[in-house]
Amino acid sequence: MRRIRDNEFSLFLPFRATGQRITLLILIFFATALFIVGKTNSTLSERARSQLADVAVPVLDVLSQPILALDWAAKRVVDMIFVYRENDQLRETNRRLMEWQAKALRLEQENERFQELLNVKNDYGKVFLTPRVVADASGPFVHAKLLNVGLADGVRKGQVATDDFGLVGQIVAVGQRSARLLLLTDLNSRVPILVGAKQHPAILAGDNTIAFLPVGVQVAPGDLVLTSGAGGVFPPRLPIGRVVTSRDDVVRVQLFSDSDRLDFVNIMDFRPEPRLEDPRTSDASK
Amino acid sequence: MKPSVLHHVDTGLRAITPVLLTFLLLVISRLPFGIEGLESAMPLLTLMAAYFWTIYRPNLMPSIALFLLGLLQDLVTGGPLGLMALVLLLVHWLVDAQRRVFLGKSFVVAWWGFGLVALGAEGVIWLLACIYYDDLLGVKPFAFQFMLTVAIYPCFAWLFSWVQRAIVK
Repeated sequence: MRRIRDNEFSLFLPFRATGQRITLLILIFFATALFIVGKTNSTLSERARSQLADVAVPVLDVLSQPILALDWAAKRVVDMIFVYRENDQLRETNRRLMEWQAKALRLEQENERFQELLNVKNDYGKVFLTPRVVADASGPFVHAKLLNVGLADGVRKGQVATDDFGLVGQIVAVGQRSARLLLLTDLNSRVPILVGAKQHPAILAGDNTIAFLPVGVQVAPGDLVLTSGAGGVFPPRLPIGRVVTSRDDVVRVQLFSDSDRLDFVNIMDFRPEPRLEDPRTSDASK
Repeated sequence: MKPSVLHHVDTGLRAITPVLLTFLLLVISRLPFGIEGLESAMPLLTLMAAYFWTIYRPNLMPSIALFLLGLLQDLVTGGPLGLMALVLLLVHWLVDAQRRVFLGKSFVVAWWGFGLVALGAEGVIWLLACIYYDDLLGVKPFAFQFMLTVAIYPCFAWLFSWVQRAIVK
């Protein structure tokens, strides 16, 4: 029955085919043009993206609720199964953490006193928002997340996001009610870092390898990787991860943050120290 | 007999079901599932829809719809604008020319054909992404996405043909 109807359609096809083919060619041309324009002028496509994200985020916000609920239920079941064992572990961890807390408080006081003596001004940034990740904006070459906050909530381009364990990424586009968070694993991500106890400066690239390590410097697996704050884009001394392998000039880093299971992120408000300005231009602006 | 307004609405709704369904799948595929590695290798659901409907009901998945769906996908995934739109249109073009090969054949033939189309599409996506980013991108995530897309095609082909039988008619 259906076969016959399909044949009916194909009887008319030759008459409509020319028009359809022209439409198709025009659309292919248009898509190619968009691709080329996007490559040469990315501001235009970025603006379109932010505007669309503004529309999409409320929808995605609602749609992602069932997934969150399922996730929560699954976690609950697992928690219930392991509740006793986990309780023992937690007690042990708690005891150890209390020792660490005492140590940290003492060090913090000491550090503050030293900084006062040396007249150091530090800006480590402050968490001011904890938005929800409502959509995944990733593909084989892009690693990003959509957040349900935007300009209206005080989010600005360039702000930094962390999870409970470390740096996650940076806000690269903001709409009224949405923001795009570029993850550290994205191809285009570059973060100035410090590696190891000696704090060698380098750059963390998007494939989680370290680039531009000073010549002759040796790093070992286990070495801590922190943001350096160089360039004033990221706050200094944020934990990023640890070196896992260092072989054939390729140093790989295992991130502390877990971008696969990211449901909430902390957005940090960070204003870098004003850079040295050309006195003439700053005079002109007054 | 003159068809009633309701009848028109009914046929209209049935006719846009394939496009609406693809749109819905596109939105769902962007939700944060929290499954490790899935986000970068999310199967190309729009590719499946473009292939299936171009073979079985090309009039219900016009090129303009594919263009818009592809554009939407580019916008939400953060990929180069126009890339998926171009790929879906090329698939539409190719499959439309060859649809008689697949019509009325067994599912295995259609699946095999989809494998070929997906391989070509993923290759074009990789190539265009390399051009866009001026960089030789690693093939691994693309290969993984291709395999996942082909592997779960039967599930969606089943869903689409059920929709075709039950709703589109």
